[in-house]
Amino acid sequence: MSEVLNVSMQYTPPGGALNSGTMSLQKLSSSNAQNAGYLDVPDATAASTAFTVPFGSIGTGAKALVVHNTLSNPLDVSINGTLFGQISAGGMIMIGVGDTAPTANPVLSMTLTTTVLQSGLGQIAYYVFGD
Amino acid sequence: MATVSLTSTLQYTPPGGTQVTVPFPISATYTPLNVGTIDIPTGTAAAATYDIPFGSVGVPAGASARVLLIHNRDNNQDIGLRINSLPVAPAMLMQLPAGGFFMIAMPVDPAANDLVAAQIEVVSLTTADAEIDYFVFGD
Repeated sequence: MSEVLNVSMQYTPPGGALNSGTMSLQKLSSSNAQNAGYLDVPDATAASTAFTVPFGSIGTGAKALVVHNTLSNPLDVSINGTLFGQISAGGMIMIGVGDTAPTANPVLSMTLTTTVLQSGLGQIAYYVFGD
Repeated sequence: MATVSLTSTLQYTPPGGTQVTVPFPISATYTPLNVGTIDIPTGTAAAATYDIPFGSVGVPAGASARVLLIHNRDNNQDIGLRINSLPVAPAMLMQLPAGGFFMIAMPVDPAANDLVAAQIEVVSLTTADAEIDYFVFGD
């Protein structure tokens, strides 16, 4: 299996014309294991409820990872056990590692934690590829 | 105030299916921005660190970066990564191999744990000049 992450960005650089700044990059990888799906966050889920992104059999580190917060509230985000920030409502995190594994500190886990009482059914989309 | 627009996609093949393309369109308004390239000269020692310039992004308290992209673009080795000074050095959140990238994109500020700092670390003696691209947009 192969997967491709594409990022295209448009912005206004200092001194430049409106929306004249562009950037694009692409990262390809080939994986034997994948986990993609939705984490459902039921109505009335309490704040500080942790949801672990399923890595399944990916044991040597993610080659590509995307998490999209489609809740109406922010999520605290931990990678490899370290809580380092939040993803706002509608926000995402995208990591393109590729086929060359890092020499150390691969991405082996991700946890998403609710920050407020959930109102209504919510979902978090995730995609993890590796091995 | 301006707008940064991202049109990111993921292409993959789900089990038993055919290839799909998943779009993740995100736009965020910003006033301060910092974009550039960090050069890491040949011979830079392991454990050397470089702060990603956030400028006034995240100032005053309560403000946050809405888009952060770090691309290990022209480099033949890994870089270590810390976000918001976490985890505490010498630990690293993760490593990005050559060509790898890390991106957080949010249409609005988070409610807490604002995105206000990022740091990269050289993981071994550099054997060739390296360039790391960064993009930071915030309020």
